[in-house]
Amino acid sequence: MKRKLILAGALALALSVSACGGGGTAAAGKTGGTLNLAVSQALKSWDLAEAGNGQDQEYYQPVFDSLFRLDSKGAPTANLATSWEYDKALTTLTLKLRTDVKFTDGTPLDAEAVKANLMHTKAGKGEAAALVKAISDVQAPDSSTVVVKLSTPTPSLLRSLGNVAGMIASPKSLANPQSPVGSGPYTLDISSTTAGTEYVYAVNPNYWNKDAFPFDKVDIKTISDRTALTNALLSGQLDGSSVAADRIDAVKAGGLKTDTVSPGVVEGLYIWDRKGTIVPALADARVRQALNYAFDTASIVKIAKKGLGTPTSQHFTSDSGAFVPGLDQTYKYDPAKAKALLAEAGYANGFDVVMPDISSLFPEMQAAMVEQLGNIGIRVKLDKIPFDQFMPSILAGKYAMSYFKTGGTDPWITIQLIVAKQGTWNPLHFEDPHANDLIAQISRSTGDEQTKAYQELNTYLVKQAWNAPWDVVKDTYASSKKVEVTMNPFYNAPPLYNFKPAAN
Amino acid sequence: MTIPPIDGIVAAPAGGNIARKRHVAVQVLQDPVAICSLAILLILILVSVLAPFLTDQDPLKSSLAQTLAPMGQEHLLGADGVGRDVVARLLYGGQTSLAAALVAVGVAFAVGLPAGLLGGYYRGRADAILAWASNFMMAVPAIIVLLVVMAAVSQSTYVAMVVLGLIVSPSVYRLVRASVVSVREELFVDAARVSGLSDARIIRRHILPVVQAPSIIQAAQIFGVSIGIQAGIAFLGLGSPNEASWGAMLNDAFANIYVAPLLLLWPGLIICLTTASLALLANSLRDILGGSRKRTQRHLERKRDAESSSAREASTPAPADYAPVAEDVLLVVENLKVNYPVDGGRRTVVDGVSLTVSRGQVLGLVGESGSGKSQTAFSLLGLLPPEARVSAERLHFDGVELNSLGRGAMNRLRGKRIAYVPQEPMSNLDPAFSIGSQLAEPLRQHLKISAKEARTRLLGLLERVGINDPARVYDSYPHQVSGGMAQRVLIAGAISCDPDLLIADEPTTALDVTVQAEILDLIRSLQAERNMGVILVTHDFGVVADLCDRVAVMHTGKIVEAAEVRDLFANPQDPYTRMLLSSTLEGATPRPPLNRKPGVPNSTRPNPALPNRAQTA
Amino acid sequence: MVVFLIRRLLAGILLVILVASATYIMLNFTGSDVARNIVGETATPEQAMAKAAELGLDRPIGVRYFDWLGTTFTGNLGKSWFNSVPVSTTLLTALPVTLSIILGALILSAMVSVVLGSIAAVRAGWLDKSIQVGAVLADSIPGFLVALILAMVVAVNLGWLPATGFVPFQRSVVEWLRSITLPSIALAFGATAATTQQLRGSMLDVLRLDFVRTLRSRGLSDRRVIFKHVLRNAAPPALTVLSLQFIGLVGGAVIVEKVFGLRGIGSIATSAAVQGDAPVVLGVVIVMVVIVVAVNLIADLAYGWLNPKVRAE
Repeated sequence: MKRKLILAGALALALSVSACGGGGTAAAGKTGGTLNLAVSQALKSWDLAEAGNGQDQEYYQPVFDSLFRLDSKGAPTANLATSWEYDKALTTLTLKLRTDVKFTDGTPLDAEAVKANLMHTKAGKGEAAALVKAISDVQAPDSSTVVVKLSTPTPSLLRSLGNVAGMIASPKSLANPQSPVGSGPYTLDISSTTAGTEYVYAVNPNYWNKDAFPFDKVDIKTISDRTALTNALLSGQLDGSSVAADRIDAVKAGGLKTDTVSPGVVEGLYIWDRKGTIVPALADARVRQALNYAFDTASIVKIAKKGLGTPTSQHFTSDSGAFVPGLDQTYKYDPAKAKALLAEAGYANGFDVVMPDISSLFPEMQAAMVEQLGNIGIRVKLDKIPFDQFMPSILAGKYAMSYFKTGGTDPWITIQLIVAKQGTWNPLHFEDPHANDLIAQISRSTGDEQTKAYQELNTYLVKQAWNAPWDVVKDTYASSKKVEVTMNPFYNAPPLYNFKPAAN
Repeated sequence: MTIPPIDGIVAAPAGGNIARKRHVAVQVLQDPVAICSLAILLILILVSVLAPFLTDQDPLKSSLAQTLAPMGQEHLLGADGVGRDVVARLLYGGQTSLAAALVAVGVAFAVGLPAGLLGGYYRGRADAILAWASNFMMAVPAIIVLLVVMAAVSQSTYVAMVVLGLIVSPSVYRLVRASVVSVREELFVDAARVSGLSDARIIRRHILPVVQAPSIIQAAQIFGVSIGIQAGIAFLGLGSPNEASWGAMLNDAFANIYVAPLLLLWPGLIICLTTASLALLANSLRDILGGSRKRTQRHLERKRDAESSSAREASTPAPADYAPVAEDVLLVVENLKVNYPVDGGRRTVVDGVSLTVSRGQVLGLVGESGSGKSQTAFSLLGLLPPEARVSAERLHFDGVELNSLGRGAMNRLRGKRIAYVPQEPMSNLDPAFSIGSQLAEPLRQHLKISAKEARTRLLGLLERVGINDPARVYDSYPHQVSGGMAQRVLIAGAISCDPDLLIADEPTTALDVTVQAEILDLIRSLQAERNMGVILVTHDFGVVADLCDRVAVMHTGKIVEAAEVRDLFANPQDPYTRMLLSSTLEGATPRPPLNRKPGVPNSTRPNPALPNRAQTA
Repeated sequence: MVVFLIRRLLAGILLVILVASATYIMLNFTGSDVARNIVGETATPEQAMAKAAELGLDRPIGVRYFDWLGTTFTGNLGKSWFNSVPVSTTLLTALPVTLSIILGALILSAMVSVVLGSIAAVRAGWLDKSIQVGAVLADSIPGFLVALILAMVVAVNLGWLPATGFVPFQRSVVEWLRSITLPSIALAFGATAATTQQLRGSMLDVLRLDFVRTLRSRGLSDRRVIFKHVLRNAAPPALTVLSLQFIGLVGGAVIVEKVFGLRGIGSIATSAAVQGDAPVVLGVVIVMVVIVVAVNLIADLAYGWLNPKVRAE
């Protein structure tokens, strides 16, 4: 469940695809050896139409090459596609492809193959599919040119195509994807692979950019238990894996390196009932602002999050064009002010609110939340629910507010998730005319004009106290001394080409 | 968190120990392990109940500032991952954990007990249906049911324990049913039924008390299992972490296992302590309530044996069986004493026995059960249990001092030169091996011969002891032959290595009257044929008259009289001998060996089925 | 014999149907919105409804049940709702893992309990007492604790054996053995304690029997009498316990698999139960019941083989 939440964020994050300098970085150290990685979530499917956009990408990367790579700023760079161009209306994207790429089954990777893939993925039900839903048609005027038609401008499209949604499989394998056939740097070694447990990849000798992938073999294990994962890292079975916050000290003590990355997910108290249908008080912006003043986000980050977060008041991270630095000062921890605001709104004695009990998922968060809301007189009653009911019950509009985390590295995705009327994480479908205008303005514009509209919307949301964000989540990736890893916030885990053998 | 096969561990103790039931409490208080376990459990319960008075911390109140606070003034054992006081959670947690375990026990018994009573008491169709339902429940993968319920229905510990109670209820059912069935046919229950008591009353008055003891043991075990399962559920992350319970503490500890490993220690320790106490208590109870699994029971039997034999300490020097010592004397025993440990001392069961056996001589060792005659015989064979202490001035066999022989040397002698024929033929053959294989085993060991050779030899011997179809018997299992046949087999086994001395312990007592004479004839003819010395242990003067040259009468561990058979019958000296003779013999006269027609039973013998014959062994 | 087998098989089939049906009904009354969970939190309500329709969740439960019963009866366990992988495929990769560690644990616990049980039964006094108390204590340590300690000490600190993962037997026998050693030991811990107790008890019972003395009277060494004759006679009840242990070990496997990061039946069952992936849960249940029935049957047959009286019939 916890993973799903992260996934929701990662999804947004994955929408942010772009690539980092097509194969420019050659292997620095020695070549060869096996790269042992672990992923905590099992692979959902080899069918890209079913693909999740979170951890699934780690299984896909060795086999499937993507149209773009994303650089460390999230900008798309050349990979399978060498150039790209939007029309004025931002609804037609024209791509030029490399002409020297073949799938491992011998089929050439051409415009028809890309077309087949994009249409296939879009038609699917996976999370990747959801990111390219706006694609209305794909044309292949010649073998190296792809024209993508969009039903509506989608600012996040390029980033999406730099990740799972832009991965290209052999058209022959699309119909019955029991095992993956791609054009990537490795091929799945089926005889050594145990589905659901361990995936072994061997070098693809014909890959066009071999130098970027110095390992002879990649071994990805699925280890879902945190303790087992930590033990595997500590005992040297693994070269790299994401680790949970509470395992970081142990992993460091065991001599592993850790890096953090902020994938654009913001956590905090999400206010679902801005209409005031369940808890009338929440319709009043002063009450929502009071909620923002109530949280000592610095302490929450330091203690409950063990430092893995950056306190914030806004939903957009510093990587994002929508980020407004000064906004983070809007709500400084001030319970007295919170109480005053509540009194002003007519709730001097606070109010009662029912929230889902998430102590099995996020015990520290719940503890902090209940304690600090209590301090300003808001009485939280916890509703015990089976934990697989956490998200469905929120989606069903059962709760006025709750702890939550979501977001995307591309501001467009964040907006689509939490601001748009039909946004998934706007379960009670609250609508604000001014916000709607700004969203429309963003989709129609590019460059500075778009950035300005983003920032205007951001500022408006913070002033309206849309939610009560606490911090930007930091994820941690641990790696062994045998490898060097470069993080990239626009991928769930460091992309495969960012792993190198250690210099000595 | 394996769900142990509870009813496999608790062997349903045979019912009926009502008389002893009252002493259970007393006995528990005499067992240090039980006392310790009980004390620990009582303290845990007390401390949990009194939690509000022992700590003023709220087990549910979390505090961001106190997250993972170290041990200290404010938090004696520190605070957990969300800043709750560990001590308070341990104390209050006991309430939830123990109460939840109690729920599991309660449900298991609420379902299992009535079902067991119903099935065991009424039998018939209800029983069949219940048995079937129980088998059904036992095959259900319990853990998966628990998982589904916990994941989908509720994370409450109590709900999980109700489900667990249902899952383990078949074990209660089976236990109760077995106990009920075992007393149902007892006379006192029958009597109650005849006298018109209602079923409900019979169950309450006569059946329930029997069920009580094993149920207590079972309850303790289910309780322990429940605590363990709670921990397992917590480990899987399925528990409700918001309750103050030991499982929830584990939940929190797992999350912080690398940061604050001590958090795992406290609930882990208290869970171990609780389940271990419960298991040890159940163990002690089982021992006390007289499960068949007790070593001490064997001591008890011997103790009784010993008590009776030493009840009368005769001060007169025991007459020794100093027969006119022949040239070829085989066995000389002087002043043999055997004693056993009893509370605070030792009890003597053989007290200064002396006897001699010559080659070709048959010595009868006569006495009532408990007189020490079997103990004398076993001490010659070196087959007394380890706790027995044997001493003798002389224990010479064919010039060798048996007392000084090591185990290996004794094993080389046993079976080869000194052989033994037991009393009860059926119980003296290993039911798991074919007759041939268990006869051949010692033969091959002593004579170092091949399996084939052993077989040929044994087939001949089987024929010699009067078995018509030796090959078939050789390949048979003990349960496939009759008692008489089995005794012949045992005799064949005993003589298979041509022993010099045969010790026969009541060799005919357990047999049909018609077979007895045949077996006696067989022993006599084998004895004559091989010129063996024989010690014949018996309570039966008829047998003595039939077979023996000399006779020694034993009483309370001493030989009261020893004489040539003729002399003893004609002129018994000791009053005890006279009493024995008059009560059992009614004027039979000794017959000279080897001139009696086979197959004439001695009708004056007492009933061979002595009530306590098993204990004389 | 044949009649016995057929009767047992029929009873087994009935059992499978009943247990699976009960599970099916339970799964369908949990009230959780599975379709929503499957399509993911970003999907629209329409997508969730479409998914529900695709899975047939919009039909009445009675219809669904008989539908499911029919397809299951043909041996088709269906596909996972969450990743569309056929349930049989998932089970086939998971079964070797669980069976390997359970078998390892059974063999380990049988060997150790024979040694300890015999010593405890034969030697009176402190040795017996300490084995007994030791067994009880070992049994009361929660399984996850044993597994965690083994993983941390033997695998992480000493690095003797792998901390996680399973290597299939056919890929490398040595690696397979290495990968199942620690999980098997962890799993065997509690089972050994129980079996030792049982074996001690039944050996004491057998030691009391007359034939033991008679065998010794023939000059057979104590060792031989105990390990050949006494043990053989004490084996059947211990075997029964061992077969019951098997069922218990399946439960233990859930935890051990988690600690050692193994994807066996236990972890499949846990994740499927938590997700509400009904086809997988049902598949696991069916396979488990089949295995339990098979193990009981094997135990009965072995019981008969060990017991000449039963064998003759």
